[in-house]
Amino acid sequence: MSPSTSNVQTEKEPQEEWPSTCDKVKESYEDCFFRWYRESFLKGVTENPCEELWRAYERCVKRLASSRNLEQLLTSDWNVDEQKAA
Amino acid sequence: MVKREVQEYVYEHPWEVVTEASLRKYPNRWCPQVQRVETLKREVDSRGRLLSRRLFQGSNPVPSWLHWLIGSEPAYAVEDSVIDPKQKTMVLRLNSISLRNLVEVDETCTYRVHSENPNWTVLQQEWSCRWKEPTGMISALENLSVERFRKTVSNGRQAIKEICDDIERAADSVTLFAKEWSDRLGDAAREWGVVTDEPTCNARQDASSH
Repeated sequence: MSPSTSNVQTEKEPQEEWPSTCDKVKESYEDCFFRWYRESFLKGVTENPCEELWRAYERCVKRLASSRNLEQLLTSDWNVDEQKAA
Repeated sequence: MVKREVQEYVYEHPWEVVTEASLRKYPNRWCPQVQRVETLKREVDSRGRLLSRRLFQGSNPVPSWLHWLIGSEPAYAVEDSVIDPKQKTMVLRLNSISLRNLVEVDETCTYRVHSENPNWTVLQQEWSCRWKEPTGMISALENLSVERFRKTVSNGRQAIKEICDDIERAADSVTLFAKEWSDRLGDAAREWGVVTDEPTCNARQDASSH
């Protein structure tokens, strides 16, 4: 029942967090990534042809993370090598 | 108050296929509680290993009758994985982010080549759940978490098996596979409503029954 369509919406609008174009960007990146994973990475080739697509997808992800106050996950150290005591 | 479970499982598929399936696992119809998965960062390190960090957004992990206590927001978890193509190992570490002042859920999965059959893959899955307030209610919840874990992992394995079958069927036709897979994901996303512009919360718990 809003009398006007020009009201400024809040910053937490879903469309702001994840614009619909990001679905397409993600799909293009993943197509490239899985082809590389199967055909190159597993065979020892680390050169990555998906860099540009990654950067586009990364922009979407960064926006999503900051809208949910999860930015620290973009930069914190990897949790991959330390073994927890049994 | 800590609950811990360790399980082992054998996939009758090669390591290369199972690890790809693990990366492709979501969304899938077996795990409707996972609403969104995004890759936050990814790199190949100096040892030639692929490191990936994924953010999982799930429907709230507690039953609705407890939302008055811990809120009804989506739950987040973060997973760091490392794939070593020379050793043929993949290790994933998942930690809950949401509600960590109340409960910590951590999971470690390791995929390696089966010692007797090089075309099979062994998954070792270790899961722990630590509730911070040992009251009677919390203890009841904790048991509920273990039940939930058992159901969730068995659904997750079913998903990986199906995806492995798909990958192998299409192994001789990669482009057809990519097309087929993206169509399937599109159908799945529409069917479950898990990929929309807006976070949704229509998780179904009866994924395994008709």
